[in-house]
Amino acid sequence: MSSQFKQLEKLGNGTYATVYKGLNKTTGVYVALKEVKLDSEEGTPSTAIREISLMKELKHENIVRLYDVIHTENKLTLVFEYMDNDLKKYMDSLTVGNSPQGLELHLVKYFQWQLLEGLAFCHANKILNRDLKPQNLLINKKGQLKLGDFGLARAFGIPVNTFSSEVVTLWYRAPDVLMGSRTYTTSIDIWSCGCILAEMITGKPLFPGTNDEEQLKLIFEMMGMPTEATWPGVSQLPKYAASSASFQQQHPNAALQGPKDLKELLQVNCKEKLDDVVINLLHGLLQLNPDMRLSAKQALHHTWFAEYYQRPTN
Amino acid sequence: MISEYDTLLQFNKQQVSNEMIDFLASTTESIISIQETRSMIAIALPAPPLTKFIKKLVTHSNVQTPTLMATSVYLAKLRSIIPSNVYGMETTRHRIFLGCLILSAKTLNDSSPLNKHWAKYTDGLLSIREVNTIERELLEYFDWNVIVNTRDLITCLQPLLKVTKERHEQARRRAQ
Repeated sequence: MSSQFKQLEKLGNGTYATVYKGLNKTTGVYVALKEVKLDSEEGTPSTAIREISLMKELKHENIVRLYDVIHTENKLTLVFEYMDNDLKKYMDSLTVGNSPQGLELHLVKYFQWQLLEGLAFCHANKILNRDLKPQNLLINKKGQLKLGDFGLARAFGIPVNTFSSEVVTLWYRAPDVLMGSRTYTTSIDIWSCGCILAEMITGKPLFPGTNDEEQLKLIFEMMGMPTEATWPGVSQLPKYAASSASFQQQHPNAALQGPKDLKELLQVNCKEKLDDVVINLLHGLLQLNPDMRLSAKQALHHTWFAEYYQRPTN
Repeated sequence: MISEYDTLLQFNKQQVSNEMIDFLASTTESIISIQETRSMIAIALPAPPLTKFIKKLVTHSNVQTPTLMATSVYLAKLRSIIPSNVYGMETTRHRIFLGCLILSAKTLNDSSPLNKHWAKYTDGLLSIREVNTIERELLEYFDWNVIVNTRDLITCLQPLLKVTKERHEQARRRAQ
């Protein structure tokens, strides 16, 4: 291992690993080396086992490539394709003074398209990512975007039990999961895509909650409180009763208030004029009821992306 | 007629049974032959019969049917990898089974026991260090290809699923 790659600067700390830039001495190509220290009590972390086994299958332009795995008694090293930056750091770098800036809309569209392309490929291969957020979307100078962290990913569609509702970073976690659903499927990732789209437009996270309860409150304040009429089955979710009661206590007239005007809210923090088409896509991704959310494939066929799918192929 | 997928769902809802444990033990035994050693250790501390070993793991870990039985997919994979002229020592089959069970638990569940727990569940047969080595070696044999799919499950559990299906048909006929 040490002979093939030269370890360069530290790039960051992941959920369970440290990432370094590396140089393949034979080919002269840069790589990202994700190092997992092995704890003798745990053995190989299940996150690593899943990330490696799933990413080996996922060969797509919008998913970071896993080249190799080096497994020793004390250390596990994953050798990934090198990317220049991640979307979070890139957005942070655009901040002027204290005010975050959104990306230019043509870039928002290109990034969102690539995000959905990568995700559609995961879903077609029966894999849920379960941790989509700007930090995990890697970008490079060519404007390419790739899904980069599969530490929480899972295969779905096989009849085995135990899904946890403790998944996805809070700000990007879907309301059904926040209310304790364990029967989620691909729609869990779509909600995150909606949050990311809004964040790219304004430069600010859409729902920056500090705990589960506040997270739901922020979502309901913007999208309205779901009811059996708008979301059949919602009252069966473990934490529905509690969150509904506390929301109504804080907002006695909530039943009379519909969802807020998303376009108006986002426009305040966006320099370019937002059109109804992108807002329509956002609504499709941010449906409270998971069954109503667009699929990644449907989202790719949304009119907002017409310039990509109508592009002549030769 | 009940579909294969629905049969699998029904099977997964069953409690772990002796039938299942016997099936896993005989699958494990079919992977590799054992060469009797007359080492002092083997004589002083004989390994428990495989069925007893598996039963203990099940009781201690409280592993449920879907995870336990997905082990058979890994066992089948291993059978196709290990050459037939290779012999194991007395505890080889125990090691193989435990390794496959750990991979099954870690791959299929969002939370699973740590290897130190698994080592404890072997009642002194294997140390934590040995458990870690088994896991690492299995991942290498499988080249990290440890995703289980429905088709593999249906294929590997065929004999047991057949029984589940027959019982279901019988119950249905009686109900009519």
